[in-house]
Amino acid sequence: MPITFSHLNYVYSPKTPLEYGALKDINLEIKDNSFTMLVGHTGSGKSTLAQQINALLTPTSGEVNVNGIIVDKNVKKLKNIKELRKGVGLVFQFPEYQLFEETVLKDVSFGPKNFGVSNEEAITLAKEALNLVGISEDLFEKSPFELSGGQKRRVAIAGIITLKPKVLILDEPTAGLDPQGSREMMKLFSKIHESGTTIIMITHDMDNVIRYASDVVVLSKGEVIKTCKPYELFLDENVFSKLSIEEPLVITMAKRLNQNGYHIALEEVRDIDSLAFQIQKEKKHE
Amino acid sequence: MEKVVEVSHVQFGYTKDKLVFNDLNLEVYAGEYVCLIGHNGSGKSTLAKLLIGLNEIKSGKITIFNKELNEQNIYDIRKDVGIIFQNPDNQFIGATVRDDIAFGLENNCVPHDKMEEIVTYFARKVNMEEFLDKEPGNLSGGQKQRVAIAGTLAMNPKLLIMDESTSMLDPKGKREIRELTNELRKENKDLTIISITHDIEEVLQADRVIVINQGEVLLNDKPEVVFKNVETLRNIKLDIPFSYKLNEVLNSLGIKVESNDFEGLVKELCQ
Amino acid sequence: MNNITLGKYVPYNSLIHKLDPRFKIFAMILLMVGVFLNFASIWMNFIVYGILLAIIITIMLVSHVKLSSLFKQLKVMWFMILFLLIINMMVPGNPDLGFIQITSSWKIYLSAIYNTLYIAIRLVIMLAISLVLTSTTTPLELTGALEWYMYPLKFIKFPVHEIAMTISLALRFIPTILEETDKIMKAQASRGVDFQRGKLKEKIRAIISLIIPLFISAFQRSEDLANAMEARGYNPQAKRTRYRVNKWRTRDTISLLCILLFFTGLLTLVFTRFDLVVWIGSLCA
Repeated sequence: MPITFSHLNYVYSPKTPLEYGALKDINLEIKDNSFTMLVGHTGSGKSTLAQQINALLTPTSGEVNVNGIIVDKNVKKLKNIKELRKGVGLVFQFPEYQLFEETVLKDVSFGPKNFGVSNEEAITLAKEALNLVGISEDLFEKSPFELSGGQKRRVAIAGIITLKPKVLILDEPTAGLDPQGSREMMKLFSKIHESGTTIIMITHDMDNVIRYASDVVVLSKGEVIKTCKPYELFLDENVFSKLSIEEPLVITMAKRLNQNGYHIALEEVRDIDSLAFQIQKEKKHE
Repeated sequence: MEKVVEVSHVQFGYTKDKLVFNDLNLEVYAGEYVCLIGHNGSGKSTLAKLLIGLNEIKSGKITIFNKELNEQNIYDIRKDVGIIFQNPDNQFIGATVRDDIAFGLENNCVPHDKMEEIVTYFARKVNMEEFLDKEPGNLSGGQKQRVAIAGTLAMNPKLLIMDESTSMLDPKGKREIRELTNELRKENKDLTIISITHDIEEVLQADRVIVINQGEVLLNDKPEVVFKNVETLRNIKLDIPFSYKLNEVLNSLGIKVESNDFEGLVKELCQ
Repeated sequence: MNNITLGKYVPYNSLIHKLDPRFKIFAMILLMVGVFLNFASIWMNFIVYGILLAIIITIMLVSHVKLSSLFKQLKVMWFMILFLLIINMMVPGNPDLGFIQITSSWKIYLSAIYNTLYIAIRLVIMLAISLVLTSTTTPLELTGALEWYMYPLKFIKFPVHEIAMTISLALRFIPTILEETDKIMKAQASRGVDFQRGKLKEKIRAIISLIIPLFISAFQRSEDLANAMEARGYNPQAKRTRYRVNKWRTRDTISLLCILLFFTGLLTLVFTRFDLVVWIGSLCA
């Protein structure tokens, strides 16, 4: 479902000395079935923006329209917050902190049960989600606190995707994982995306941005300063160095080669394999 | 060269039936910058805790600055060893930046009238001078880690252990800590640094890399030698630096390249 | 979660902020005792309360503690004061002070009204005093001062230092844990938990889904913190030097003299049963 922000403002602790405008006049459309990544400094408002989409925070003014459900400052009176939250799943940073049940299976089925699904059905849904995230059956009856860090994270993510949300929001889902763990995690999200889910991901990892994102939204000091295709982030040196975004090495390499006579199309470079493929293509031309 | 750390035949496990280390052996020399790598759960962080005596070993011997680590001299040894942990929030002890930097000084019984000077000096060193009276809630992760580094440096350690101290930071925070570490190495050639990390590009800067897998030292050499073992590293699910990976892929596509570093590759490809 | 600002330290460079916290605690205790002294007559009581109130408001102005924050705290008190008044009106009071006959069998004693007023004023003054103390003194300074006062307890092997350290660590982690609570509540809300509405059973589940993760993370934090403290050479049994040392300055001595003088004055009034109203009356006569 498409998500449209219009003239959205959000102020933290209004009318106190701590008042602080976290989002300023956001106008943005997130396309259906896109894999949109939000990038920007810590404190640029990415998480605040994401939380407006399932009404965990509600706009001070303006609105966000999630497939016809309008979230604005009066949303508390709306009855369909639950419906909204069922359609929009949000996975927080370090989601393993939200685990609390006695067994893995119970923890994952907690969500569906809250949304009124019967116990049996919730268990079936939970098993499905756990399979998807790669948690094997012998762990289902274990306590989630006995699992390794990476496994806990998977279980926590299963707790959200078991709700079968149409939009999945992920706040730095790979933070703190080792490289292998984060690669596997990204493959999982790519699979979920391909099955027809819109994914909105907050990230600092530019390698993931160029590899997986279909669209990029850049935030700075509470404002959307750029919406573009991933490679376009690195066309303008001023933009990405000012944002202290690190350029992926594949892009740096492609740029260096282009300076020396290559004609690599940056939009084709998404990882090492595609970079090597482009180099091979150039070599053939010679 | 003087041996700073010597771990010999160390056996350790958190529970009786599951050992993290069965027979661990390694050495670190004065002034070295050593990176320890291994996937999560390989025992790297456990090793860090053993080195400052936060856990007791079952058998074997850990010698630090020629003193065998035991209950009697543990506080003595800790005066020479500093450690920066992973979570920026959970190692911020003081109520403000000032108090946090002073915490170790208080423990080391530094006289009160000398503290202020030391606190300011190290706050300046990590670029946190203007934040001296700030509380942790008002600081970014990178700033908190810098304070932890200042608090540790203020105790004048000869060995600094960084236990994944950048893994919870954003790229800006990571860069700040990396630059700070480089600066420290330049300023003080005698400072020994052991860095436990996942940041493979940082590992390339190290004097030596120790690869730990399932509680054992698998590889132990200069980075350029270690990363030649692409297959071994891949088998234990470790990352390989960009230029090594690119080299491998290019060769498999029939483009012959020799270099394993970024600049070398650029040069070769543009001939 | 951010609305817990009542009684929070407000940084400002005022004389009151700069005074030694040990003095401030001492002064607070004296003033509070002063509020409970009983003077020669009702009118005398009200006069002294008036003076105390005037002094405290002056202090609040000097230290930039907002009067509005006092009123905010008082909001909660209204109900209590009303309740007290009703209770006081039910019980028979001192008929000497006069009463109002409502029905043949029920009269309201004026003493009931006076008593309620006393309690109300005492509450206001005490709230104001503690507000001034907590707004002008950091929790850390307070802990340090309390540790100083508890020093004699060391001789009976009371773990004064450990307790002071525990308090200051707890204070340090309160904001962190509040932030965490907010985060976990939001995470569970995303899984369909409704913390506001629902049946009792659902509410209990909602609270469990908050409490358990909070405890788990608090244990993790305390383990990490203990490691970090040990790694920086902390040993509860060993001697330590102090970074934060309270320096007693001339201004503290002067303030101490003032407050002692004032308190002695109050005590003299109590013991001589001096009554200003009677005295003025006798002057006029």
